[in-house]
Amino acid sequence: MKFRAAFIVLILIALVAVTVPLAAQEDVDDLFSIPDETVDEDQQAESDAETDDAVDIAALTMRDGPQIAGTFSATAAVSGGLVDWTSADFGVSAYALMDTGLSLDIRPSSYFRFFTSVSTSLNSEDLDLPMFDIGELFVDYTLADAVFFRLGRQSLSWGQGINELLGNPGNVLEDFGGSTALKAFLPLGTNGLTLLGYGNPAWYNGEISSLTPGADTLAYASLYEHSVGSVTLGVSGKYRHDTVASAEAYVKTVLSGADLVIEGRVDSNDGFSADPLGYDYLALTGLFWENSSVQLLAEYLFDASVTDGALVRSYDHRFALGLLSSTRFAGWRPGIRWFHAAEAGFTRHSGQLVLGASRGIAPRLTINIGLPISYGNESGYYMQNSDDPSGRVASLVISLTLEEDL
Amino acid sequence: MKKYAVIIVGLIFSVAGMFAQSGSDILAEIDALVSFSGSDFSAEYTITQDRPGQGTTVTKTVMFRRDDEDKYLILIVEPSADRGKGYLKIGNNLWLYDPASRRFTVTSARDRFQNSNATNADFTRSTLADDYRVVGQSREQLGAYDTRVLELEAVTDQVAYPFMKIWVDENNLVRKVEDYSLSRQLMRTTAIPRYAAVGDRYVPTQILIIDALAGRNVNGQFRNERTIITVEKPSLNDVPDLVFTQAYLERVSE
Repeated sequence: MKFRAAFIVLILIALVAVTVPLAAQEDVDDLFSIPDETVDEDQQAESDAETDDAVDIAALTMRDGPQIAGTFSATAAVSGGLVDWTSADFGVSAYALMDTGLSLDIRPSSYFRFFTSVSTSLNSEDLDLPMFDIGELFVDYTLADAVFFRLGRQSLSWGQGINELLGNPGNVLEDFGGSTALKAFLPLGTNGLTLLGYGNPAWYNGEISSLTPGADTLAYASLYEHSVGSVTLGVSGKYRHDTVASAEAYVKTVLSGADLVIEGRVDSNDGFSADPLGYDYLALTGLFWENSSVQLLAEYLFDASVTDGALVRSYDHRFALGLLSSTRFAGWRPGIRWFHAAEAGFTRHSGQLVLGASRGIAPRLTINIGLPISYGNESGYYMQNSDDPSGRVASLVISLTLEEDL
Repeated sequence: MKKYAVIIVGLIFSVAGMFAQSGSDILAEIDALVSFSGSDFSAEYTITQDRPGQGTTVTKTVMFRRDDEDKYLILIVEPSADRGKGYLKIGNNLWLYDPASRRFTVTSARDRFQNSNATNADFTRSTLADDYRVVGQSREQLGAYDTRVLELEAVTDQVAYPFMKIWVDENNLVRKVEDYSLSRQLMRTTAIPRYAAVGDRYVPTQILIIDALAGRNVNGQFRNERTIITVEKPSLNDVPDLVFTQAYLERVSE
């Protein structure tokens, strides 16, 4: 009897599998019941390769007047869960966020542009809205339609890591946030060369009180990328006198349909001035693969420090795996992330598993559900850096976000 | 007897050779009609993604292509949440630009364009002759068209689909495509009911892509996910060199 029921189910599945493509095919064939007159009327003679009705390239780089845009988002969340694995204490908390940003974009000519963006966030401790911060304020200038300059406070990051996994540790510009910079991009090879000089207010406001802005206290960096076949190579470096020197290189290619990257970085944290010299090394490998229903992301990071040829800190290993569904189930888009760190020469293990899903429930309104679970040694990386806002080891986080572009 | 056998085998090989030659020539002709060697190409693309039960999303883009150097640049214009995002393809590599983080990510494997049923390969020049060989031919009436149906098998593993069936009209324009997996499972059906003549080339101006696997039951009936691409303002006007650089994406993005 069981066999018969299973057989009927199999037949039904087979019928659905066969009829679905057939239905789609009939649907498609109907599109060709009327011939395409555009081609049949022999418009070749009439059509002109150099047409006036083309994409207005100038309109992309020039505008009649200033353009003001903005974003607004508000999030309310509640979370609750187990405080630690050794006791049965439960904790519940709630928080609210509100952010808004405005931008002004002026493009008077094809070679010049002014852009600034400001933002503010609600301080949840005293419900104050502080004055707007300047996020970016820069001008773009293009010389001879070939060399591109950007001058002013700007955002920028390099590196090949995935922010949502191990946080892009190959980015040599990790100290760039809030900097004022001059960036130049020159077309060179298959891609180009980027040159950068920058200074961060944090360097002059307190880190070294006697430091004053000048050519000898700025940081200098460059990035060159080149492609050969399906292999892309990149090299970047940064130097700041007496402070830091960094070098990074990566190779990225495709293997059996997956992106594969290998990245290495070395830092001399004393800018070659210390004796003996100390170096930090890291190596990152990453993988990205997707099909029509799922995205798979994976990273492995190794880092170590060396002083005068001796390993002064035990080396660490970190792994991260992400699976994100491209399709929705009953309106929900689920995802899963798993991290694991093996620190101090495989003696200190910790990790975190995060199950999450989100769906839109009304225009501009999204509900997100997250279930972060942390495990391992109390002093382990992921026990100390939990996704739970209150550092709980297992919790349920439900948030509601209202977002709108202004 | 041996003599006849040699003649028959010889005939089989020569016919097979002619067949292979003609198949390759047909693919080369098809490629030539929709490729833009010797000139640049630009157009506005509107991509409408229909997910049954989940509504539709509309993405508007501007596309610049330089087939001679195997480059293209796609700038997202709408929706506002994605405005300023861009794709720069140079050779086999694709840079994705995110204006929020001002960051470029290089990739070779990200195949789906903006989470639609279109792949990035749908926006590049046609390379059927380089990537596939004809393994079967027949004739079939496709609506108002008397078409040749070519069965293709990939000769490289760098393509998204190892097997294809294409319906080619009397002008050597592809009207319908079926993409198959290695196990011969139908993955996508593409219909191109409209082309526009630009100079002596043709641009598909209306494309319907039906995902054979993705979809859901709506009111008791299975509906496939589908993507409709419409192309406006196709042109072979020259495009400045700077457009095909990362700097240009930074310059025009929001």
